[in-house]
Amino acid sequence: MTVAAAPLLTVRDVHVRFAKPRGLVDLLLRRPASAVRAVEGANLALLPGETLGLVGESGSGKTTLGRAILGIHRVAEGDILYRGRAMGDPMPDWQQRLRREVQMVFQDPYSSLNPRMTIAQTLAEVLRFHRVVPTDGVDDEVKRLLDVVGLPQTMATRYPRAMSGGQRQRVGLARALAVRPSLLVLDEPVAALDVSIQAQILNLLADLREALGLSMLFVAHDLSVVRHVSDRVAVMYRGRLVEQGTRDEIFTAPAHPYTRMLLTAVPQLVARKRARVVQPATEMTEATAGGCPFAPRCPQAVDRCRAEAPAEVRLSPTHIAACHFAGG
Amino acid sequence: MRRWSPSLWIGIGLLAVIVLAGLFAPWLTPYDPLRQDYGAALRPPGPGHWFGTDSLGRDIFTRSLYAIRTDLVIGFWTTYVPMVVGVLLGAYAGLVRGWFDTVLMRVIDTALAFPFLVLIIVILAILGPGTQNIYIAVFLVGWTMYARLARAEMLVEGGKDYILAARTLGYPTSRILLRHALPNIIGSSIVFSMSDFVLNILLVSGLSFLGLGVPAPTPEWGAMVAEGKDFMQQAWWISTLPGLMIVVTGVALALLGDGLTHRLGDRHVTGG
Amino acid sequence: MSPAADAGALLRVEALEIAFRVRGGDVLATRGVSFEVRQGETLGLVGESGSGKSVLCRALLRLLPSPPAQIRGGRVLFDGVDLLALPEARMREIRGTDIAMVFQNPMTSLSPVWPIGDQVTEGLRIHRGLSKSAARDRGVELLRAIGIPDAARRYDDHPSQWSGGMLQRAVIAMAMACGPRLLLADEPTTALDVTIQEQILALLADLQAKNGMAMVLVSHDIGVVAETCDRIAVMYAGTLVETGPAAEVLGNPRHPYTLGLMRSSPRMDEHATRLQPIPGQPPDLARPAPGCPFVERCTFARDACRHESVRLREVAPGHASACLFPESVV
Repeated sequence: MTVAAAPLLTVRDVHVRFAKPRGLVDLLLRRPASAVRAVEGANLALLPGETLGLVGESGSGKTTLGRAILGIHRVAEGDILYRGRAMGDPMPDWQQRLRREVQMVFQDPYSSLNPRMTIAQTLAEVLRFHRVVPTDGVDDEVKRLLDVVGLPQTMATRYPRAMSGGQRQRVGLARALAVRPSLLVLDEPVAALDVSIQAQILNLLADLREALGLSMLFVAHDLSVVRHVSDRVAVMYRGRLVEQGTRDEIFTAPAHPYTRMLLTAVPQLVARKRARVVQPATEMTEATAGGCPFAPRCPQAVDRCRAEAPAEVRLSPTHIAACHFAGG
Repeated sequence: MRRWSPSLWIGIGLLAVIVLAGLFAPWLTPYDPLRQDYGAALRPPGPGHWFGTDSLGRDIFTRSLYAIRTDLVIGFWTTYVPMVVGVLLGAYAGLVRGWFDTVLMRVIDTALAFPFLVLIIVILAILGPGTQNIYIAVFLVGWTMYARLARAEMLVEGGKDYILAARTLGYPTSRILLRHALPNIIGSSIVFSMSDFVLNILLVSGLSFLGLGVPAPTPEWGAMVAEGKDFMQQAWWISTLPGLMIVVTGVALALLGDGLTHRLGDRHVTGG
Repeated sequence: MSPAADAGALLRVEALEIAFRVRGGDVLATRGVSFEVRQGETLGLVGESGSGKSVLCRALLRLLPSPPAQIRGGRVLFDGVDLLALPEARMREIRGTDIAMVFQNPMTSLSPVWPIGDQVTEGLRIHRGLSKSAARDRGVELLRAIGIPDAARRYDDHPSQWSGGMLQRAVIAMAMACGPRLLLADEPTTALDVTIQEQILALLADLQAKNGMAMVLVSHDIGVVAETCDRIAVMYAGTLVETGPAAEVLGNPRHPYTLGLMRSSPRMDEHATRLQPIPGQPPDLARPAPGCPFVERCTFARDACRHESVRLREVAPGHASACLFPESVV
């Protein structure tokens, strides 16, 4: 990992909040909207050519953070910098450039394609709108894209409904690649696929990354998948990044108890009927204000954890954890 | 892939016959729909006048044919202008949400709080009778149904990732709305418009009956049925054919709507 | 009551064939599926989407809507009684008392308008005739047993107040209320986070051990099954392709599909740069071809696989494979 390289993407103390819907009366009285905190103070950096796995459970804010990078959610506080420049920078053509250089691949291959457009139409629209190739080159470019994602040319005239989940996910990938992006945000790209198909897509991603030098932010809940694709891993819990490190640091020397809990929970492919004890459901227990958000579920929690939020501890140049006990 | 159901075929066929009959009315009948002939008043059905004549001696069959033009045109304007406007507003509100959505929904709720017919009559009372004012009145009330329908569909469709994908690709809102969302949400509005079309014809007929609708000599089914009411005892045939025409048009549109439901609503997933 | 009550087999499915009548023909959801579940045992039923595992599970309780579903043949013997031949009234008694089921989505498994506790104990009041207060006492006990903190107070909560993991616990409590002898769990943890999944699997294993109940655990995740089950049955395209003790099937797979499933899963314990996916797509169940259903995707396929019919044959004691050449699977 070359520390010297300038990051492609920098997420600096980013907060994202969702306003609860307001009624007409609230609107007329200009009452402020109350907000749900989805992401609280996230810091990340992504180097060119690197894949960062963003892991967490549902409600951790990982998808929200990924979408904030795409500009789908507004950032309430903090900055997201792309190539060192703020995403909201008023420079002419900057937004247009961002729309091309940063692309997204979605989770659900069934809803992420317009059901009334053929595959060729979907791809051609992107190419024409962004003028990626001259108009007379669009057809050839569509063919090339299908080739790149490993789909036969006969698929071009098909509608999404006549394709399997894996094939649709390849189309979703082709659509993202059409504008020749540098950064892909992948939101659970294989979560909806069967294992055997999932492996096909993961291999395809590895090939594309190699061939095109793409950077990827890989958002997922499945640690075995994240381990397979990532150079570095960031773990989120309830809107906060609790641990970050290289793949080996996270998987062989996890420092945050939540990361350890995630790792031991992943089912292994070995027949081992484990002795089981009923653990109480603690996931709904609210953390005390000012304390560590993970304290109610943490097997190691002490009084200090409930009273004082842990600061980030730097365990190595690449390894950070937000726990009082990290690093001894 | 998608099948054309028999009801769709029969609906289209029936409607085509009706439209053609309206278009070719001058060639299908030797009479003038407006010319009065007191010598031939109240003739029962028979040779010369297959469906009889009315109290002014006008041929019922001829007037019913010419009325196709009046009624289909009325049905078209009273249905599809509100539909286009309503669907666009509703879909836009469902897509962008926020204050536009809040305000639009309150307006719609207010409009829907009044009985449909009462509201139309009030508006007509203000504007005065006449075909054009009927269009305006029905439009002012009718778009709300389509806006609600389109908004509800848009809320579902807007949550799907292909809409989000279009946004991440930087497409403008108008393009997302018109090219991506509308083709996927328009189905239910089109199906609804089929029954709305018939209801609007009946509505205009009812208004004509009240004297607020199509002015007197113009052949119009509802007005003709109303005229026949006074002669029900001695000349039942005056109301029969125009009434039947309303029913047949209704059946044709209902079949069309049913067939379209299957065709447009058929989004089942194959493969996967 | 039946001659077939052989030692310990609580559930015995024989040559079950289920078809769905759809536009343009019949789809065979399961073909000649036979297996058994012994008293107190956990059988893991693994397969990908469309393999027929959920259909099979529902068919055991006769919960498939008919039409379009049709049971074309076979028997489902529970305690020696063929469930498929029972009158509906008798079947209703069996559901919820002798056999209970847990579904995939806890969010939709409970009605949003009634208190959770009342829903958990509804079966006790219907099947066991418990009074409202007795049911409540038992319900609080059940909620406590499944790890709900402050159970007496939370009895009256509504589903929207609980998390998915807690709701799935409640759904399990509901299934356990009448002390069933067989629990059918259809992807009970698929909708849940991995840490919650672990808790739910632990809960199921614990309840099973305490009550001596048998369980069929349906999952697409071979890892979940590996950690929870005594025996595994692998399903592909409506047929069982391999059955056997968990350690045996995972340690020494004798069907190329089982092997393919294992190789295509990313591992936590070793890092491979490339996974080995199973090439191609599952076959179209509306057009069953002769021969092995896996032949088009199989790297070991030979000519015979295209023509000869396949069925489960024992390759080792208790371990059966539907591959014609099980010894060549490595």
